Amino acid sequence: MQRFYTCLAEQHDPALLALAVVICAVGAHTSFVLLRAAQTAAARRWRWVALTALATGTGAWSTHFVAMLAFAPGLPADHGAGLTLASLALVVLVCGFAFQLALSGRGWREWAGGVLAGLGITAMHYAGMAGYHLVGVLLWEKRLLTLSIALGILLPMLAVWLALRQPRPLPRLLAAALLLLGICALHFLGMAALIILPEPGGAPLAAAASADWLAAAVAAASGILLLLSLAAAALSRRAHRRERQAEQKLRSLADAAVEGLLLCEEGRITGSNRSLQGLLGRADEWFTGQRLEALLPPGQTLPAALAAEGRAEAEFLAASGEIIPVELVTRPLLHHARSQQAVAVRDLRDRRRAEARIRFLAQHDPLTGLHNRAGFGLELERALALHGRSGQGFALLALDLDRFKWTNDTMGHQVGDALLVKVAARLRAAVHATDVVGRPGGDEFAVLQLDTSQPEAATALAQRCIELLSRPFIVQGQVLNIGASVGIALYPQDGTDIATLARNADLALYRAKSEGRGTHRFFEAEMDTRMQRRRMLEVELRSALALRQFHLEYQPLLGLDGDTVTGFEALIRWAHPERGLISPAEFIPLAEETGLIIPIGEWVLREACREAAGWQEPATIAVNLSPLQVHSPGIVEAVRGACAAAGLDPHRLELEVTETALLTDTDHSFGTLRALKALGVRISMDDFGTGYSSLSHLRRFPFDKIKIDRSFVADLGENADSAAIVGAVIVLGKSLGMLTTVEGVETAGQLAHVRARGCDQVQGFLVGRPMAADAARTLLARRQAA
Amino acid sequence: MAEPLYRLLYRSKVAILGTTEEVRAEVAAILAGARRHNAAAGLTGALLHEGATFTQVLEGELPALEEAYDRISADLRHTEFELMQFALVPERGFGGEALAFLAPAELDAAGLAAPGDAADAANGVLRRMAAILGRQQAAPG
Repeated sequence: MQRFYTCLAEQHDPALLALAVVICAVGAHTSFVLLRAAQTAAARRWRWVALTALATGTGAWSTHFVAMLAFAPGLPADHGAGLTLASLALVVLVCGFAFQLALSGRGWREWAGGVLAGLGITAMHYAGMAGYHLVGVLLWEKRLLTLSIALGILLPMLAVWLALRQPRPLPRLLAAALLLLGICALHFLGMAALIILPEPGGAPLAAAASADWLAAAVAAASGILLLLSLAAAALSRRAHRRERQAEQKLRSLADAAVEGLLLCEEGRITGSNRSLQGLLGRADEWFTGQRLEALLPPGQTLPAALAAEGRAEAEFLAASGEIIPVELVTRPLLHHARSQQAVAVRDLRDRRRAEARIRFLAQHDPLTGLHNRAGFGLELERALALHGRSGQGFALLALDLDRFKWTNDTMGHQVGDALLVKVAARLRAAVHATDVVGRPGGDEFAVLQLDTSQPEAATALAQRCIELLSRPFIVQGQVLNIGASVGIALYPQDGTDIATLARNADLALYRAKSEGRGTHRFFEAEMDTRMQRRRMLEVELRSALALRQFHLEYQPLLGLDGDTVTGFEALIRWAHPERGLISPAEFIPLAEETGLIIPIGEWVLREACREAAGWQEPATIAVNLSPLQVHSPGIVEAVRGACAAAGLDPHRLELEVTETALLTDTDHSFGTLRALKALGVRISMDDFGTGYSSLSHLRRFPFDKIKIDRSFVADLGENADSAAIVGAVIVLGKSLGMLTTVEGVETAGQLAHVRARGCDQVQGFLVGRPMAADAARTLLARRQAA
Repeated sequence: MAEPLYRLLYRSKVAILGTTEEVRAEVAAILAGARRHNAAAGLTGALLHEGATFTQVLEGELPALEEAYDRISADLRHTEFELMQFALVPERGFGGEALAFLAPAELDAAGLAAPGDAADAANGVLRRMAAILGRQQAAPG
């Protein structure tokens, strides 16, 4: 160290020494400005490389020789012109190769380029020293020499690497300082390693002439360096401005983007745009330098596409703690001549919300918010999968509102819809949190009860549902009374698949409805067989008319004033080819339900009229009209047509209706009856005494006849009440001008009784069972003959 | 033009399981909740809790009354629910409080359901509730 200090302080001229350092600094800085230009040059990079090499070479060379001029060892010295100039050429060439190598790729090439530049500079120095002659013997101190060479290679290498990796002005200055330090270390440590032993007998050199040409050469080189430096400064300013403009443009473009944008390099974020900052609620500064993993919720790993190229979905963690689903599209990008990734970040929250909404709409009823058929089916499948594994039971309840259709038809759909919403609310109140309520359609509801203590839990639930739905509703100021019936199927005993469970719950519901409504029924296997028979019967009933499987029988009516058969009641019979006679009690309700009663009833009318037209007058024919027929719009025309086709005087036709036909749509029903009566047809009130037996019905319409139900006659003997009722109805009939017929008369005692009360007609086994058409004809003919 | 006023009258049986104390606490909670709702919805009325029977009259404008009724009628803490009257009324008969709580001192015979049709029965109940309310208000404290 002492040696180094002595060398600098005592053997150098300070002014020239300072000049040497300045030249070196200018050369180093100019070199890296030009190197940056070479790095970013799109085309003809070699020109920039050549200029860079020229700047580095002349800088180092001038430094060396100005420093040599400053060196005054106290002995005359001389520089060999050949080696001096050769050393300049050497350093420029080697640096040229070095920079070309360093710019050709990352990693080892950068290091190798740096080392090569250092070698070139070192070689220049010692080539120069080789041309240095003075009167004396030059000796080298080994340690300092080694240090000089090592630093002369290492420091330029570091400088080149830094300049290439960190192209901003400040690191560039640092790189220039490193290069400066390297060149100075090389030179001055090398000079300190030099030991000069004076040679007393040596010839004197032409010292002055030697210094002159060297000074001129150095001045020329420095001039070149100065020019290069000025050009580099201008270039640097321009490049800087351009870079800033480009950056600004890129930034405003990025900030204008609706999507979030991330710029990253080797797993670290180098930039973000405003959208992304807004999305994650973080400032720009937070992003820069952050690892990409910092964007994710804790514990999640980076999708492969985020690091390389492609598309992926991921979740980002916002500053608020919200986890935001995002779509990432990554593209490689060349930015500042370095390969980076641009990642477009698309907020998927809206899409996810829309998807969830669509899924909800697809599985729910928009009116009530309950699961619709599809959604309820999914819930059932889930329950089946879950409970199928564990073997635990659950219950499926099918609910049907009892008077909903009537409400909907008479009060309008708006009221009906509002009512359904309130029904849904009450069902939600009736079930537990684990149960699922659905509305498969119309006024059908369903509950999936995930409770293993069956059948008790299902019974209690059904009762809660029925209780709540039986309470009156108030809808838009109107009090509405509906009610509900419930059918229950249990898993696994009543079915192990959805279709079977649903069908069996429906069968149980059907039973609940047919057994009085407002109640619940569990599925029983027997319901299934009955239902199957019913379904088969329905199919066969549809074809029975075409296959002429129906025929009529005729039951005589006895007029009590002359004890003569005054007419017959036509009764339908179905002779099934395989099952034999099927009871009307079995198929008539089915025909009513399916609407088949209309064509069948018409056939009965025509057939009965045709048969009666063949009878001698004034024998009458009585035909039953079902409630559905009374309400059907074509009934008056059908009756007229039947009489006309048969040529039967309408006065001989009696139509029997029950009170049931008058209960719904009463005004219209009475209108129909009046129109029928206007044809000349007579109208009888059938089965009077059962059901409502409303006197207002008798008051509202002038029935021709009241038929007293057979149930009163059966216990005439024992039951005083029955006798009183029969008597009262007969009196009532007389006072209203209506005939009375007593049905079901089987004994002579019964006949005597009703005769004594003043009854007009009787019907029953005592008078005659229903008989075939020819038997009826014979009976009438006998009467005529008598 | 004031909105039309409606009156709702129903009767039901308490279906709260528990000791007398627990039932009383639950009824108190129901009462407090109902008063809060009613005050917010502009409803007034009275609740008579007598043995196992609730009788409640509520008056107000239709939307609020219908909403309150939806809540009451979907409640499983009472049973044997019987809607006795729902009708337009010219003015409030129980306009004093959001929900007055009536505790009859004795069963006065005049109030027990007199023979007659539903409207008579409802009117009888209303008269009796009004009488109890009047007596309570007259009593000091």
